[in-house]
Amino acid sequence: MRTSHGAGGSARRAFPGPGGRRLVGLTAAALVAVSAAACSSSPSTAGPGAASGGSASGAAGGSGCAANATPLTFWGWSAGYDLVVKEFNKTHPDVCVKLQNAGATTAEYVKLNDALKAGDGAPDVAQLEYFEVPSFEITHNLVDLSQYGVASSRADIAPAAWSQVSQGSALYAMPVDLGPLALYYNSKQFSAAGLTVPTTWDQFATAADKLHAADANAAITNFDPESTQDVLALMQQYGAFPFTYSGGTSVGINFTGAAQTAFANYWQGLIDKKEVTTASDFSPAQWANLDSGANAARLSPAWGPVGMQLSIKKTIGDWRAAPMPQAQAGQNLAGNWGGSTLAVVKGSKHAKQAAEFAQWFGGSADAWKILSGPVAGAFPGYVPLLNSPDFQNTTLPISSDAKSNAVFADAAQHLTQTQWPPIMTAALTQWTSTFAGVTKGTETLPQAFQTFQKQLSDYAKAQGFTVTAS
Amino acid sequence: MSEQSGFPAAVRPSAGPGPAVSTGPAAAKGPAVSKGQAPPHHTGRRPRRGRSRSRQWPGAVFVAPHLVILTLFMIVPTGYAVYDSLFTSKLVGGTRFSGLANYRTVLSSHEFWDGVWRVLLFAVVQVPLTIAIAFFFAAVFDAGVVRFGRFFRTVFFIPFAVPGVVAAVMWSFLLLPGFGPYSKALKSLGFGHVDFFSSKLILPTIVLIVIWEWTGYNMTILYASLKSIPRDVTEAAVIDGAPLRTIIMRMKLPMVRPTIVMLVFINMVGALQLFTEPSILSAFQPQAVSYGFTPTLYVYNTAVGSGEYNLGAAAAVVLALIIGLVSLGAFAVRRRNGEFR
Repeated sequence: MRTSHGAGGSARRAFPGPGGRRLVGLTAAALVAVSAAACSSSPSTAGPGAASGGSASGAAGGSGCAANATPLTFWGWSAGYDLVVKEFNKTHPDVCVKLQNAGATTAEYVKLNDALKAGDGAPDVAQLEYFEVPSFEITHNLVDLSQYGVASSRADIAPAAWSQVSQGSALYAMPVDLGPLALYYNSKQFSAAGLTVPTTWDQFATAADKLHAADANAAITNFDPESTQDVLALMQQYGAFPFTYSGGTSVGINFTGAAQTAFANYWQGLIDKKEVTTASDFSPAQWANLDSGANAARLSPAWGPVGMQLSIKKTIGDWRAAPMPQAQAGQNLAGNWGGSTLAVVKGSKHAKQAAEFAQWFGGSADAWKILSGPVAGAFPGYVPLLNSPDFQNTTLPISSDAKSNAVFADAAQHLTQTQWPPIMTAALTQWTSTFAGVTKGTETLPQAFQTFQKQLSDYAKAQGFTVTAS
Repeated sequence: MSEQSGFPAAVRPSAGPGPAVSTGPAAAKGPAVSKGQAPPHHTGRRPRRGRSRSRQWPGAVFVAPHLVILTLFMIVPTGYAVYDSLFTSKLVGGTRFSGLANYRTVLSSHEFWDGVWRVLLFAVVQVPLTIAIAFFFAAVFDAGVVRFGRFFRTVFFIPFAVPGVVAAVMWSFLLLPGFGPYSKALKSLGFGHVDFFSSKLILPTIVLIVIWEWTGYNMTILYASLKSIPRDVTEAAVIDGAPLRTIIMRMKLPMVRPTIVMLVFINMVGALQLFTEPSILSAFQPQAVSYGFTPTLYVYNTAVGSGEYNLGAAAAVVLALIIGLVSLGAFAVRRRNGEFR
């Protein structure tokens, strides 16, 4: 297998849909892209971005650059990043950023790790998802951006995004986009079934009972136990985020505490009553369920509706966003699924310019004009845009004239602050096998949590960490 | 790739002193083969002592490209894996010599052994099935009882020309539960909802995909082997009034037995290294294929997925030893059958 998509494939978009915010579905798409790349010499473009990819080759960046410009290599995979890079090169003639697609999510992290181990071939700037930042931080492979004044962007970035990339005064990556969750429901089906929009998880369960009692084929939503990031986002929103970490060699892993057990029992209860389905996220089954009334709602990240409206037909225009139900009435807690950052990699010969590029990429109106556009479709962690009426008034056909962005933007401001542990690569790899039994019905979610608690703790200990489980 | 490109270069130097090599045996062999009095491997005579030295160095030239590749991509990496497997590298605390600790972890890992038993079960089902189907079609084509034999031989070979990754992606869509055409067809035929990726059916599904991919390859080798059987042997049987079935099963099958033994061995090793198909399927159906579904997936997921490169290296070495044992077994069988004299 010669999959040389690192070198020449800068313009290739590895997967359909916006941004690198989901792992499981993406691996499949990435593999398809890789396989296509390996067997044909023609560049393969896929997804909504491809249609407008008039400047697909602009990613090489070499073109509009002055001869004496400082060269920077940038590894990224999300749709539309090539357009943002092009804009940067145009407006910053002294720097020449060259975008390379080293694969999406895990594929890129593996390559980056290997390049860092080899001491050669690592880029100046790399796209990292939030959860992956500490994994590179603990091996001292990221440049502290605060020394280049990037911390001046702090006021412009949603606090929950900022807290995930900083330790004290140190800043290890520049946040770009986010994926706050909202209850995205089929308004026609809700009113036909006589449901009011639930504001607490108790009300949500009652609504699920009522819906399922009226129609045995209807489930209120889908819960994919194998989708690590989805489950973790819901746990965060429930006030049951299982990880604590504040740098150093001690890591908190807690899947068996009171809040976590309550969360697991809650969803297992709905699964047992068949009031939620357990289809794989982004699978054809999930889309079919959403379109046929088998699912009346989706607990959707902010970047979800864009992809969803390409995957459903009959119910376009019926979907509305509401704030997530709360564990306790009166709370306003949000969860986040996905989003990326830009980190400057240790060893970069032009760390200053790289930091300047990263700050501009995630924290400038110029960059966000393109990032939030139709090709990239990223949801901003950039507060001036989050708060702007233009952005909040944007509508999508799937929601007719309803302004979903306002709901998602509010959620972005109410994210509980989380700290990812530096062992997320392993957690993501090991999660699926452990939780597959919940989908199959051979184990319960609380049991899977127990197993995973031990599994991940053992791994962390084997890696030399002190594990606290409170 | 590089073996092929290296070939012409290796041939050229032998052109000078080479006549003895290139014409000698070939001239002796040629008529024997074309008259078809005996299978080719009986004609090769051992070189006499006096000439052996002059014959040795061109042989070395021919073997060299392969040895270079073998050294660079097999022996050196294997040595590196063995070396690597004796260390443990932690996120906190760095890299340290740890002796056989990684081997103890692998040998006591249920995931790893589950995977080994799974591929052995897979091999026991897939290998005989593939070779039986391949032999059936090879014999049919060899007997010349179907029209357009050449065309169908090509058609049968096409799946092998499709890269494993592409084949796995294609089958993933074809067999998609609820939405794939096969799933729909079975439903309309009254079989209900068949989930090819459920924990019960996932292994048979992979058997199906692998048989589809490899039957044509096996068939082609068996066909070539059948074609090398001298025609007068079968003609004699036909004159004696033996039915086609007897000719194929009683005469041809025993004569291609060395080929079948070789194919069993090649397919067994391939089955033990099963990776592409389940890893692609796991992207489509994450619940179907676990972390250590096959030993190679275990190696990949520990090394790349969890960053435990040393543990992955140890697992790879253990797997290599298991495959080495299977190879030794196959070698012993072939030796008993009179090969490698």
